[in-house]
Amino acid sequence: MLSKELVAASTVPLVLSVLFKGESYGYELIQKVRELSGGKIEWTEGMLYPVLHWMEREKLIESEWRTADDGGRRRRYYRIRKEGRKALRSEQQQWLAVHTTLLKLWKTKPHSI
Amino acid sequence: MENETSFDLNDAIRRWRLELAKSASFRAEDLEELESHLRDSESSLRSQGLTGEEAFLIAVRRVGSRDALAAEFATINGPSVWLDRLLWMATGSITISALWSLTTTLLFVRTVFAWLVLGILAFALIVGLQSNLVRKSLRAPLRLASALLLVSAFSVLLRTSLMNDRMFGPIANFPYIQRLLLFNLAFFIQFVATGVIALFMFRQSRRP
Repeated sequence: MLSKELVAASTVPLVLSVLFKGESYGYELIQKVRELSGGKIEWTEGMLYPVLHWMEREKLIESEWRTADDGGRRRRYYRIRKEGRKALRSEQQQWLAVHTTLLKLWKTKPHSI
Repeated sequence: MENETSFDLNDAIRRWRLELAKSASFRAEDLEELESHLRDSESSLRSQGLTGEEAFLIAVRRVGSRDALAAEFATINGPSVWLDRLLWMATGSITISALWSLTTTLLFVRTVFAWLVLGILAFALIVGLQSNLVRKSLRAPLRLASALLLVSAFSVLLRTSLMNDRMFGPIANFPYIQRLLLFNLAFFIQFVATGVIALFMFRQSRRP
């Protein structure tokens, strides 16, 4: 389980990274991140949606209400914007900097990043 | 499956949504999104073998209590919920003044030409407000308030220009602009107040 502070810091880069691969909606985002993290990152709805709305207001992402092809359910799909891609690049550099430094300190050989 | 008539999912969701709507921290769109989430969660649980009612109860529990959700949403909607209320109040008072200035203006309109100008402007206003650009950039109360402000501004201008000098009484000898401002002081105060609220609404942007 991640600490509260780490969840707060990592939500934006995680959302941006998932949306970079393709559009998605809230429920799917939570599922994907849970799956990819092996259950270590468990987002709550109450935390995620306000963050998504803030990101939209900051023009990092955009959203659109659409009816799904499968069940006919209306969902709000989020997509990454140009500003979001820029933010993601900068987040990537910062996280990798922390990551590589920690790996060196722990004297583990950094595996392929 | 056939005898599961005792539990109505749509009705249960409607009641759950009404309960959430009691909190001012959610916008209509937030509730819509949470409902869509709840339905996804519910149908996934049902596909794992739970009954309709069980799936609904667990899905609701996972989404979280109203107070916990409201606290999270308030961090981003907080200031705008307050501003929205203020704007709805302003919209109410502008509605009254817009109707008032519109009716008094119509009493002065005598020529066909003036009616024609009125018609064209009303048409342009409706088309303009329906355009995608305006719909996307302005929130519902803001859109309504600006339309009403335009109507009152136009009626005020038309009324003042149609009046003859005697009707102005003590301020009849003042220059046109001063006469206009003094005669419609209440309207201009309202105009400025709504403008200030609108400005706040656009500038507020906070990180949760």
